[in-house]
Amino acid sequence: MRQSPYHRPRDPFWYMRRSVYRRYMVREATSVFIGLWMLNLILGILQLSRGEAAWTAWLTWQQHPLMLTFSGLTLIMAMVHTTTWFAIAPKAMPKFIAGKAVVHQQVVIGHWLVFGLVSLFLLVAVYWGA
Amino acid sequence: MTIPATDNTSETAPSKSEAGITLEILRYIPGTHSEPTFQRFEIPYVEDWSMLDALGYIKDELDSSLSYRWSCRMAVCGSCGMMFDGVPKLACETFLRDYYPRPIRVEPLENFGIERDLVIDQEPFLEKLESVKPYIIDAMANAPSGKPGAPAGHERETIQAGENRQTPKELALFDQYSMCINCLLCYSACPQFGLNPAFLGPAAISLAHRYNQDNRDQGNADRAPALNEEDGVWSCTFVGYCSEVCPKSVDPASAIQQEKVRGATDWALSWLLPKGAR
Amino acid sequence: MSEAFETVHADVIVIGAGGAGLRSAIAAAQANPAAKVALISKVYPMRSHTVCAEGGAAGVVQAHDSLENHFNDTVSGGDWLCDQDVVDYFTHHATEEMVQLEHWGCPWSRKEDGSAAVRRFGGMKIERTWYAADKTGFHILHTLFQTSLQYPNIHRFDEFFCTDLIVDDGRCQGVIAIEIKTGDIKVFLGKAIVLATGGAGRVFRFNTNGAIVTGDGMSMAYRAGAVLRDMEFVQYHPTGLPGSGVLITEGCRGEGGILLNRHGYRYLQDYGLGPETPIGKPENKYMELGPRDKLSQAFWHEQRKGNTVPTPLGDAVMLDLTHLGEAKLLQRLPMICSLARHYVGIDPAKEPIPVRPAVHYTMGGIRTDIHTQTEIAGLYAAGECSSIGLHGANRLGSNSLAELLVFGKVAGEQAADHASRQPPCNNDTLLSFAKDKVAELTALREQKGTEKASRLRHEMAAAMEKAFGIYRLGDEMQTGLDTINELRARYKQVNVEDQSRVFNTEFLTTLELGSCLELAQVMATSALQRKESRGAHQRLDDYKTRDDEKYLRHTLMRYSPDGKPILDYEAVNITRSQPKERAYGAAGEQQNKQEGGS
Ligand SMILES: Cc1cc2nc3c(=O)[nH]c(=O)nc-3n(C[C@H](O)[C@H](O)[C@H](O)COP(=O)(O)OP(=O)(O)OC[C@H]3O[C@@H](n4cnc5c(N)ncnc54)[C@H](O)[C@@H]3O)c2cc1C
Ligand code: SF4
Ligand code: FES
Repeated sequence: MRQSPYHRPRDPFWYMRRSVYRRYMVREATSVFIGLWMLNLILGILQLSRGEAAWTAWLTWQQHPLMLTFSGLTLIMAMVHTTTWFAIAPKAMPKFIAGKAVVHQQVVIGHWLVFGLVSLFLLVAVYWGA
Repeated sequence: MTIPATDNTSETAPSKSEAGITLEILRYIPGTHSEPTFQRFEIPYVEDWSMLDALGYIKDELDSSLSYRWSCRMAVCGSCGMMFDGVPKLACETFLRDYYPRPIRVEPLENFGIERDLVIDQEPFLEKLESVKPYIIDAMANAPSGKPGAPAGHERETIQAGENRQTPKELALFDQYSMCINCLLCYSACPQFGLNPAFLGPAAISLAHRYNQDNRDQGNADRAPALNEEDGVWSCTFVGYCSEVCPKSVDPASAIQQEKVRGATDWALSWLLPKGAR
Repeated sequence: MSEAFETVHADVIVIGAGGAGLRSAIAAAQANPAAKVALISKVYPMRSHTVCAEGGAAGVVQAHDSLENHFNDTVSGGDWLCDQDVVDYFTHHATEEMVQLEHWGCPWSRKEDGSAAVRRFGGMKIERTWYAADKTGFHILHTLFQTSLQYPNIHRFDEFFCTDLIVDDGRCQGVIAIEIKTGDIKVFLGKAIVLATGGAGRVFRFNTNGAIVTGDGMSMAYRAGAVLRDMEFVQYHPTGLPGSGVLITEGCRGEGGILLNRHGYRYLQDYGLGPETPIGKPENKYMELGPRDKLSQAFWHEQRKGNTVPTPLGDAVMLDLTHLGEAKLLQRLPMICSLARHYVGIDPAKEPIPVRPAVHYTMGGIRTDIHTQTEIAGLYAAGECSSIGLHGANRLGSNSLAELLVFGKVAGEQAADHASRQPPCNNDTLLSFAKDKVAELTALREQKGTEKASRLRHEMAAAMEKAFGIYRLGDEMQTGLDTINELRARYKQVNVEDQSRVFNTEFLTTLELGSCLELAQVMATSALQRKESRGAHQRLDDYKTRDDEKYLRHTLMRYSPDGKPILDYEAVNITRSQPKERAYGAAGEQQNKQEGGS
């Protein structure tokens, strides 16, 4: 008769055990900030639809030191998230595209280039629009 | 002190020294132990010894009840995966010299049930492997050889037709993923598998990807259900440690991400294209 | 006291899930989709020793090659101890098996145009060795294993250790096995049995074989009344790593690697393999591409002359691959690069690799006819455990993997056919037979003896290496045989300390040791009685040359309960190639010319 194999209890703090896991958890944690900031933005849009007074109130709230710190933090988190994602992006690419071997470094550089261009475009658009 | 050579070590015992090293091995014998405990072994330090040689010494000279799997002692049969100081490795490719003089902690592969000592339960992996249909399906329409029940005469004909063409470039699309020795180190490295034992996991997905990428194979659709299930590729959150521990550079993490891309594309196409055009 | 056991019924039972076992299980499953095929293996199929084969598998493909060439290379390589009808069948079917594997997905290395590539191999006149980089066995095994998963009528019993065949009424009808993970005993009953349990290299100390290569199947068949044939022929591979014995494939020399002694001299030219071929231009059957026995013997002489390189792990010669360049090495021989780095700390692109001969392959095995049928009705054998008559006194590299496929298939088909014509087994007599065997097993497990199995194993391996190595001497062999008999007596007093049931590897290795000792005795006796030198059996006493008059015969060994094997001989089947001198290098070329061959 077979005894069922022994399963060791799982360490609830498993993610603290290895640097790989810790880095992974940081990457995942960054999305919490980004998520919260998105909520804030949605709130802003809602306020905009409610009329000018609501909108201005929201804008003023954004300039509160607490909110400024939060936005700054979110920006840093977003950058961490972006960097880690771009670093592993090549893994999601096929080994060859149109018969040419995909060079991992080029994929990462490509991602940053696109990121830079889009950011620049947005900045310029916002600047001109304002 | 004389060091009896184990079967797989040299005939002229290498650089003998009085030096020793300590191994702390997790022991568990069902029926004898109620739960695993560590046992310390002091063994001679021999620079050339792999962990497998060290375990062999213990089994032959100190405690014959120590159980572990091994065979090829050249890192290709995939039997000897274990944790050394918390890192999954092949015992035959890990050397005492990389730890000396510190004691080494030896445990069975993490995230698996323990049968006894360093022996883990591999049965669930075999079921997963089977579920992704890791074989050529409908090879090149004209060579459907090897299908269950295919008439013998038919097989003869396709054999007579000779081998399929496959250029080195086409081979390169999948060869890396065909290198998997099923050692299961990647499963020990994967926290998602630890949390959800039903997760198909790195090696099984890599092998599915290997066949999906093979130009002789037409079985993508047959493998899709297992891959796109909740416990398939989507259970992966891209921790990436599996690829770090893989001794054969299979890079299972990349196979999983590429299968995610394939799954997502197929799903999107299924909405965009009318039925039948797919 | 005998313990209870469960019974499993099947039509065909295949024991062993290496290349030969998997190929025959697939063939049996295809031949009769209604038949239940039980595939039993003491390790998971992908751990089987076939996984270690590096170099490649032979099958004629090139237009300027021919089946006749393959035939001649095999027969002369085997020093005319090959059964030539078997060789013919083999050469005719090898290539189609390579193609079949290709259809099943084997990632053969390719030429630019997409057709399969072939490489040079020792003793082969023309390139005909199919390869998948330097992991050919690995890819063949995994391809076969993965392919086998699609046959619902193949029922796998992984990690079941077979101990005894069940023979009743002259028919083999089952096998007794221990389920390793529980220690429970299971009795498998079937109408036809295929043995595919691999070789017995672990009888020797310094070898290229995995831990599981302990000749269990040969011993099981022998004890059940089958005949072991040509067991004295044990192949040394010229290039194993000192220390571990890990194999450095012949493919290295096929790609152009050269062997040097301590003076940097290509010593093979002094041993009838010259003249020296230019570096980077290897020529088939010259120098480094001579057959394995000749190369191993050359090492022995160099060592006596003091020309070998002393290393901390023992004497070695140098295998130089540096001129091939890193790119080619990584493409063609990636595993070799990694093995050299890990096990001797050397980068083959920069430095030569130290190598020395190591026991590699057992040419002999369970005697079968050309249809893989053994002496016992219903029992078939294929792969390294069998002696179908293909390899003679020395196997050519890359003929073994091809043999697994060609004759594995035959065995599967024969067994399926045999099973379909058999009445169901007579349970009662079989089960009472099984009960006795099970009682013996339990007694061994529980016996309180005085001997330690690991000690006996070390002593056996050392004795065999000393007395039955590359060269053999009459009196040394006698001493060796005496030691083995003594060890066999001590084995009766063996003590299994581990009394637990789950994964009791001590008990299993004790059973393996029993098989090894049985085979060591057969090898020793066969060798002592063969008073000539042929292929892998080379004597340095009064029998230095080949003696076709007396010994162009297969050695046969039958089990006798008194512990002394019964010796017999049988004729070799010679159809068209009469024995000649085995010549390589320039002498071989000369011989060819005289016969008007090419
Ligand atoms: C390092 C190395 C390299 C080689 N390279 C080449 C090469 O390049 N070309 C070539 O042609 N040949 C090569 N050979 C030889 C060739 O690989 C072997 O002869 C061949 O693989 C043997 O295959 P097999 O199927 O007979 O046995 P194996 O692959 O050894 O399989 C034996 C099977 O039997 C099972 N088994 C054994 N005993 C029991 C038991 N008691 N109960 C249950 N199951 C059991 C095992 O579990 C296993 O599944 C090489 C050999 C070695 C050692
Ligand atoms: S993918 Fe790598 S780590 Fe995972 S089983 Fe295969 S060889 Fe081992
Ligand atoms: S013993 Fe085969 S992989 Fe380590």
